[in-house]
Amino acid sequence: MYKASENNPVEKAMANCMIAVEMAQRIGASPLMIMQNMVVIYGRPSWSSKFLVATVNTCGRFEPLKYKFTNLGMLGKVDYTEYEWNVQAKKKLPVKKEFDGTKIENLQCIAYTTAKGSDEILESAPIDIRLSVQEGWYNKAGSKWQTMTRQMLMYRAASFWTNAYAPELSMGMKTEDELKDIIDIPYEDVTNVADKVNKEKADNANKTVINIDDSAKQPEPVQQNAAPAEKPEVGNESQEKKPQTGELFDQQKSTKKGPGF
Amino acid sequence: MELTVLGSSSSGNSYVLQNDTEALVIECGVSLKEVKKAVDFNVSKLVGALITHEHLDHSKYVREFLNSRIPVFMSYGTGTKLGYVGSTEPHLLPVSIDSASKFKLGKFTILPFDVKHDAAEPLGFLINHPETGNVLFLTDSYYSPYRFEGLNNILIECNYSLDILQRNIDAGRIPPAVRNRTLQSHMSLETCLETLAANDLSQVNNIVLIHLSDGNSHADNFLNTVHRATGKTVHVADKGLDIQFNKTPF
Repeated sequence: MYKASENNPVEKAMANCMIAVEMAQRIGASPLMIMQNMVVIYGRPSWSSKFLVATVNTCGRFEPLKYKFTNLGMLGKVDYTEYEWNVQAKKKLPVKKEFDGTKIENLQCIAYTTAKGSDEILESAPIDIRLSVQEGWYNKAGSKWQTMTRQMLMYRAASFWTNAYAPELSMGMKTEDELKDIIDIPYEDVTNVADKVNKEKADNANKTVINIDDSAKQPEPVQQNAAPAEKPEVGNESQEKKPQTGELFDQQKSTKKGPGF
Repeated sequence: MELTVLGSSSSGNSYVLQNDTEALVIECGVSLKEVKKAVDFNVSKLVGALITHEHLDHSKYVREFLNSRIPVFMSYGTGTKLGYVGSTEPHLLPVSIDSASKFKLGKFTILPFDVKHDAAEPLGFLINHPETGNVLFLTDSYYSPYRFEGLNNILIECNYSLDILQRNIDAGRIPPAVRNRTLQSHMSLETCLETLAANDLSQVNNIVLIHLSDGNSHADNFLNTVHRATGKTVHVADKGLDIQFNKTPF
């Protein structure tokens, strides 16, 4: 039951209904079933895992999904990377850590089935506890991986299977569990900066001669829109209000000149 | 004239050029108390403080200077970033300076020039004083667009070496993304050498390497490398360094 409030107006409910109806039409399912199984996490729609499995099982193209478990022995120590907030960098940065899994069995799960009318087995990528630790799923606050290990392995394997063999069934959406576990790190290009800097230096470094005594050999004043560095947002300050060299910043309030001029 | 280094790292930068009658502060990245100690509490001889850009290791203590009525000079972009545009306290306002506009403070003549750093409107300074001759102050810039004529003393950033930076990244001590920012904001040893080589050093008395990175530099190696390349007297700007900074060594 949807309760309209200031934060959840009726318009938002209508928009959500439209999304659900559109999704239902595209995958040929009941709109109410979609509404029951679509979860919005961090502002993104996702499916519940059981809905995804049910969709695969009932779509008519595949036999029902099955799961194969293998015990790979004790997990041992696992190195993994966690992203922690760095106050100086003002963003999350990777921190290398070690997980002690010497008392934990490294279970592996593979989801598999066959397409109807075919004997070829379609297997998901193997999901195991080592991967779950390395990806940071196992240690997340409130993670179900530690308490419902086999269930999470099956859900994740089913999700990976669907992504590989029938992504059209999930419409490219991740499952609810995936969305909670997997964080997308913003792409940062670290490869071409050196080339870019070298080219800029080759083009511009040490080119113009400055002489403090010779006014003909002094740098050109930098135009406000010409500097490559980030320019400040000056709000409503117009260019006309910019003080000249030797003037105080607030020329609207005072015409006092700075000392030494 | 004497040069006193009060700080030259990301923890805080400040340099004082002083003789018996006047003193010029470059950067307000350490407290005014430290500056007062450096000038033996003769605050009246402070002619002003120059700020290159708004990052806190260069500007954290600007307000202390302004509160003590010591004039502080910075570009419009820097002042804007530090929140001085539209202030209602005229006695607490810095003075705006422009790249290419020469000005005088006591017997110091200062020519600001634009540098290449990830700040709003960063500046370097070419400073002339009858005792020091022409002093180049170039920090927080991944290269210099300019060559400088008639230099007598140089303070130049030598922040990192590419080798050490890469080793730290390979060892996981520094995230690869930090490399991007470093390459586009600070001067490497290699670029520092290129910059020095591009200038006429025949009349240069001292080269002071400033703003060495804590983790990506090696002070002794840097000093020896620059000394071998230039044949000049080279210093590393350690906190507390106090040297004669005259036009000639005699």
